[in-house]
Amino acid sequence: MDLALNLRAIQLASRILDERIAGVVETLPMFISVLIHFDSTVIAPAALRERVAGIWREVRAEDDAVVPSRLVEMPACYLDPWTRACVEDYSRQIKPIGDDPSFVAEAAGLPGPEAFVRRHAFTQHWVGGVGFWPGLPDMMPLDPRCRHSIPKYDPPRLWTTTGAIGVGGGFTSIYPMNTPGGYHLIGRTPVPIFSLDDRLSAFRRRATLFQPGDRVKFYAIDVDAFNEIEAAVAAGAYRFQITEGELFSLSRYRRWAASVLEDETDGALPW
Amino acid sequence: MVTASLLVLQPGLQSTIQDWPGRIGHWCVGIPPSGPMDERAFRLANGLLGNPQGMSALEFQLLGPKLSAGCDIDIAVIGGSAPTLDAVPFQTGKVVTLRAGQVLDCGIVQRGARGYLAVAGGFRKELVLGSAATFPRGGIGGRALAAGEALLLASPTAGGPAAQLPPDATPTLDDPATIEVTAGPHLDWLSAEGIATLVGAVWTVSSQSDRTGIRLSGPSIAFSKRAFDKAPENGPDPTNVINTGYAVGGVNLCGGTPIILPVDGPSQGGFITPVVVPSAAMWKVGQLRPNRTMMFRRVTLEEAIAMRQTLDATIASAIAAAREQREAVR
Repeated sequence: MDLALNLRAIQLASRILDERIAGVVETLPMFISVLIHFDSTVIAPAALRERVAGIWREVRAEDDAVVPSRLVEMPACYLDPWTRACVEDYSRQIKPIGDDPSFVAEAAGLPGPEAFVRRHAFTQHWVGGVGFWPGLPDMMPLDPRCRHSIPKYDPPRLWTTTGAIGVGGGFTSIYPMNTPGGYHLIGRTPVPIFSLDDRLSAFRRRATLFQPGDRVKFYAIDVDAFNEIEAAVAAGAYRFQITEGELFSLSRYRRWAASVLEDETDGALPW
Repeated sequence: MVTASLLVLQPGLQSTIQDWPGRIGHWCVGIPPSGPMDERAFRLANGLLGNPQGMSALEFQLLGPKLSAGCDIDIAVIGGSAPTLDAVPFQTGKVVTLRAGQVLDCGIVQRGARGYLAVAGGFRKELVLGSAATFPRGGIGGRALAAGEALLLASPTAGGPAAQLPPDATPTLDDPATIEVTAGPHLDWLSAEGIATLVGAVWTVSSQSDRTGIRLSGPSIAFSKRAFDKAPENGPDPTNVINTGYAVGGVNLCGGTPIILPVDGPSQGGFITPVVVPSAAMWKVGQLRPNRTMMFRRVTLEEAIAMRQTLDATIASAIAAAREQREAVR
């Protein structure tokens, strides 16, 4: 996915809302496109198209693409027993397969699952779009050394552990609830990304945690920590780790990405 | 004991409480609007009773629920089923008074796919994100009805004015049914021949269809160069595209299968959308029965907007005609 175009899509979607155009219900930026939900009995498509074209010209004319970007830190129990059981169930019921983390590590050309998840927790992940299932994020690694291209399940799983962290294509996703799925599972987070529980601060304004333009940093936890956090969530007491108010600049990002690629020295990768 | 309720004796198939237009404004984070699959029948059922057209009412598919009344209440059933009251058949499309202790069987849907049961004053159901609609697959707003469950009534009244819809207010779909479509964002991914096939062929509704997707089977579709000359990140299949937002009513092509995305469908994904069903034609999609056939018909955006105005006007006049009926009865 072209990050520059994704930033433009996020900017465009947000500027359209800022204009408070009568009849516009919501905008959905998804990777390199924007879907506009509007009421055609309030605004005619031609009139809306003209307004949007004007906003798009303004957005495109800006030299740098800068968007507000929150940093959300997510605990991840990598190589956990729950998603392993989910994969074993698929292997028994649908089609015999090996374990997902080994498959993923091999597809990524890394020596083993531990190396893959260390690298996965090293980079920040960019939320390029949200949806499909309520609150589900599509995330790409921001560190160019951490990119991957992982085949998807065929046929897909019929069920997936809630909170499962999966990788497919160049992306990472989190399953907000028990749903079918096609990404390979490498871990599980105890933190909900969709919830109607408004005791949890992150869900008071919206029922979903992520928005496009967020950055996500996973950090490894063990099963005991998973259980503790899960209990705190159930009690409505979990404190989300969200840093607000940061800006993400495309030009600054590009300079940084180029510099880390130059810095790469033999065998001294940081994960 | 809770008396202002309907007790579910048999739940029927995927019976759910919905409201209209459902849970609006959360599509941008993947939460679908839900609401009735057949907006037209749903609004008429409420209108008959003098309820606001969007008030919460019950949707059932193919097999309706069997309910016992905890109190007296006026109801209306709309759809192609043969409902009974204490085993005595009654007409759909009219106000009927249900007495406490009586058993209402919404019956088997013989015509179309879905029926609706509206109750005077609506159901009492907690709003989730501003709506009483049910998204059973995601567990938002509850699940499908279960036997033994009590459906709470908001403010039941009985013995209200008689009202009956004109006979032409609930049309039967032709076989093949005609479903209008406008050009979608990826129409140019099909070749001229492919477009002619998609719009000209007779499609069969798959039994693998539900509120999240109406799957169609039929001929294979030819693509244009656009579907092949694309960056690899779009995916290997001609129907693959970099994930993009979907519209309710969008017709996805997933490999060889067209899927119409209804009110519980996904908000985004990686398949192309060559054509889109206008909102005013989605009520017909909601009545497509598995193994029946349908055809698409191209309309312009202007025609699609006019269809919305016509649908709203048709519903309003059918309800007004039912009100005149009240005057006549009185």
